[in-house]
Amino acid sequence: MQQGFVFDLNKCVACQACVVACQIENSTLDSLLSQKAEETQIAWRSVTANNQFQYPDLPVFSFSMACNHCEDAPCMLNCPALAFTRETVFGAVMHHADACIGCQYCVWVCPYDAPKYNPFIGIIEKCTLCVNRLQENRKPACACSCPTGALDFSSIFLKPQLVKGFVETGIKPSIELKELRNPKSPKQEMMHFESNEKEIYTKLNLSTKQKYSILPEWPLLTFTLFVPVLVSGFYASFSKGFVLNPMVFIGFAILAMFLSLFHLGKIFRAWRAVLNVRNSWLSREIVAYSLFVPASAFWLFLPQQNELGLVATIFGLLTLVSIDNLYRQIPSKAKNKYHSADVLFFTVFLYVAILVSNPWMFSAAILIKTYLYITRKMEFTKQGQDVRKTISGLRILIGFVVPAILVFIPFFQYGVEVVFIFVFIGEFIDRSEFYLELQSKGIE
Amino acid sequence: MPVFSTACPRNCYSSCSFNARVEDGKLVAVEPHSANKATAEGPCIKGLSYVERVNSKDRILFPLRKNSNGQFERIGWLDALKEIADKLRFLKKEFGNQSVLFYESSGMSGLTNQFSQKFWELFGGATTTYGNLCWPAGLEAVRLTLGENKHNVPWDLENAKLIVLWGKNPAETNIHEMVFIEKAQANGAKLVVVDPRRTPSSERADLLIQPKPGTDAAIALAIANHLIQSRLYDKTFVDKYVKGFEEFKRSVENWTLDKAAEISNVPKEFLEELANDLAAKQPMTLIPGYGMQRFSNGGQTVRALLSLSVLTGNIGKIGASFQYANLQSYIFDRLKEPESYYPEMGAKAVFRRTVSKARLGADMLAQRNPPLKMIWVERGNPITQNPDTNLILEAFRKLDFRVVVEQFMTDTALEADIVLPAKSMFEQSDIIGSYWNPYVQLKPKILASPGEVMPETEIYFHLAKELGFSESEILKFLPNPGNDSIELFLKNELKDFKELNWEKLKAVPILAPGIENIAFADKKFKTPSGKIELLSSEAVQKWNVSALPTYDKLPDENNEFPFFLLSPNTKNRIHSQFGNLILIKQFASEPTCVLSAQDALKLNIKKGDKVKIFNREGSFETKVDIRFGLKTGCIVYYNGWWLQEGGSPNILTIGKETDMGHGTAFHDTKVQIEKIYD
Repeated sequence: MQQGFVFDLNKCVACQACVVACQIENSTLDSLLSQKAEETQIAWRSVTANNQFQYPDLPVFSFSMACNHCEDAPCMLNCPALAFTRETVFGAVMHHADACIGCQYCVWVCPYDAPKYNPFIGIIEKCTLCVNRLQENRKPACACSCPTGALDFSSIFLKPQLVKGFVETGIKPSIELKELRNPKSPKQEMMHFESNEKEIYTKLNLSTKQKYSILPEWPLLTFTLFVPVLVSGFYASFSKGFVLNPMVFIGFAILAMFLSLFHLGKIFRAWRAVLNVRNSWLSREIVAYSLFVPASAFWLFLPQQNELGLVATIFGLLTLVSIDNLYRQIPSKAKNKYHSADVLFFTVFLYVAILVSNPWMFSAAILIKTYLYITRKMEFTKQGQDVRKTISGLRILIGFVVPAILVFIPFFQYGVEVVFIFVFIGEFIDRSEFYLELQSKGIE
Repeated sequence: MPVFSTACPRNCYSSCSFNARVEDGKLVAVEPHSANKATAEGPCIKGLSYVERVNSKDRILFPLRKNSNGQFERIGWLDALKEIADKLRFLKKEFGNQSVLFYESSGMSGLTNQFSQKFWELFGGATTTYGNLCWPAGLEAVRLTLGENKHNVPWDLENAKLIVLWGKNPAETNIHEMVFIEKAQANGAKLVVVDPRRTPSSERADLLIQPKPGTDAAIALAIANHLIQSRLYDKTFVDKYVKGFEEFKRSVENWTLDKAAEISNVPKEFLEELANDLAAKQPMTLIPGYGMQRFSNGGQTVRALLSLSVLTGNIGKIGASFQYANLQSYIFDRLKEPESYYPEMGAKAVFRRTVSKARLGADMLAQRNPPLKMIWVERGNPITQNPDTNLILEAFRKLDFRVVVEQFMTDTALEADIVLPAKSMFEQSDIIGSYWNPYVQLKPKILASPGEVMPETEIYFHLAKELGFSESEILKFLPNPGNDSIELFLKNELKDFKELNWEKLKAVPILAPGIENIAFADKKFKTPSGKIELLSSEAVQKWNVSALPTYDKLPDENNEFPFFLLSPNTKNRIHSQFGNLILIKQFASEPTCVLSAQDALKLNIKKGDKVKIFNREGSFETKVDIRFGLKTGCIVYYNGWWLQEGGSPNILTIGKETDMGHGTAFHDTKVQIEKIYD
């Protein structure tokens, strides 16, 4: 029988003792009391309330969550720097500060928001299952300190947990949840409202969603915008004699790589990102890209070397496949995984079509991309998520409609560059939206 | 790593036992102590945060004096004591001892607190306060009816089949009670909550009744009448143990459920449901909170509530109890609450008790012959915690001299001329009881005092010397400095109780000698008649209220302001303590007022809007938060916020006593709210 957290929804009153106990246990006294403690204090465990504004006829209940030390831990599998290991006695997923590059990919792939990025030290921190305490035969600090006994640590049954509000993604979290005996809210007075729930929430400015900003993601945004341009530029040049200035190409390729470094909390450990080629799409992406750039650059100088061009093309495609797969690992509420993920692959199609002026290829690519974009938005509508109608409209107009008009109505005699720029702006909006959506993933 | 058994001395139901882990002379962890059956799972976030509190960088570690620029400067103990002694001598000579107000509150409980008053006796007397901010109306109501304040042990709650939380929110104020409530529910008990708010305690309830504030007695009397009229009450119990049933029956006969539903603004079928549950589900435990009795009709309200437990025979049985306060562990007190709040003053008394805690500001200003010239505050933060902050500030600023003993720069400390550093709970041994769990607990000295901190007993000892008293004279009133003499004093207090033994108390809490697991199981009531008194002539004599429980409409004086101001406690603080800590601030960094969604829609106010809350007592600005679960017509602003943090609710509260027990009618306060447009 495996040991793990046991959480009883009937008993939790959201008192936060587990959070405080964890903070005291895992930060040394000095850092707890330091001048900067207020900003730098990161909570590894958090208590999230459902229906925090007490909408009538809906229960309020809370989950106390930290790392569930999943059997198939996606953080460990996907970490490019091999910063996670499995502690063998208690099965804890351990994070190693000295190996972490601060890429935060684990934050994205974990459905429980267990890895916490500490911007003050540039790396991830997370629950250690208090392995040191377990070795002394003491329960983890959080489970030890729960005043109502809602959170405990003991032998558990690992089974699929079909509990409302809990994300079950089949990665075998080491937690056993005890469901509400009475999932209803207390019987209370009727409330009469003139408008529906959603309108009232808007009117009263009640939003449980955090405000997200695209700004922290600019390094990834630029990188994933540049890469398809570079790959398609190269391929158009390789296959159809599109004229590409090698120096410009190399300059942009290196710039993209350089800018992407700023995404890391620990830039000087960036080399570690290639350590997990075996499992991590992030490592594969970086390896593939690192091979694509010199290979394609050499070919640009030696365009008669067809084999070299072929190799470069393969590495370019591998880079794109890696990026698409990398984002596909991120748990999302969407059932359709062909969201932004495969978009990069088709984006290259679109760019190449423009660069080589192939209207058939252009039509196919733009139809596929429009279809993917609209299905993604429709799914958001279904889930009640923010669709951003204006921005979506703009994206479709600038990125799809205008280029199509420019290409197919011969009246407009614009050059390839103009079409390309429109498509590029469309892609820019699309990627920006995508990164915002990533930030808001996780447990409802 | 040494681990010590200790207990939390805050003004809190739970008064947890806990284990304190000490490393290199510092407190590093606070852990559960399973020997206390009431708090076995461990303390709340406040208890855990002692790790920060005792070690905090903000703690006052040296005597401080306010300079001419209003800044505090560190001074030596000798200078501090000399200045205070000079002032005391001067005031004594010019105006008499009673020009000094000695103000103490509930900041830390323990037997050593009695030495503070001893010092002022040695000094020759002083003015001091009577009454209490918290619970005396209810205490007196229970005392008048049952003869004393005691109830079943906390874990007996598991046996109840019906639990009524009436104005109590244990999830935030007595979290360990939730353990027993949940166990009872797992065994099939029904939970009914009566509260204008939807609280974490009501979330797992079956029924939530949300009355208009101050109308609880109307509900109770109507249900009582319903039970009597439908012959659903426990006739055998009433005939045998109750005084005044017939009179009570007649007095409530016009109280229909319809009438109560209208007054309390609660659907009638909810009242019917509660009435039927009270008749059908046995045993029943009724748990009133303290908020609902902080009204000018608070005492009579608790008497009305108690009549429901009495009529249904839910007193003195397993799973059946009226759990207001359990003072069974207060074995060392010669005079128990509420009577200790207004002791008889003999003719020779050196203390002048003419300042009501409820009217602190007004009464301080009103003192004559002599007027007040100086205040000494310890274990309290009256500027934010007593009603009518503005008037108290005025009274403070009118004085010549103010001394405050504190651990942190509270609003009251900021008003001081001299601030003396106060001990933490770990820096002097003491013994505490609790008003909920039935244990006698020792909290030993386990840490050296940091900086130049001295316990109050030692401050007073040195001050007495500075005042020129001889050592032999001082020792008649105060213990010698050092913890040994304190432990000697405590051991001496224990010697009358063979169940209590110092060595054992050092390891575990001990159940209070003579504890009744089921209170009143013997059906002996220490009332004048020896019965449960629904009819109490003492109530008339002492408090000039009706001999029977009544619903007294709240006075109209403030009705020009439409909203009730509720100032309940949160899990984040004990009154004004703990909220200044980093570990606590992460959950509540700034004060907000909570408005019901319906009122917010009506007023066109959104979450996050800046508003002004005001009435005749004062006004302050704050941000708005919104809950659908709050009764309309109420604004919630949590008790305990400091002025420095944005405003205390007591800027708005009225300095007014409750109908009995000299409590404080905070919740009579009504206010208006206005949106501020930037």
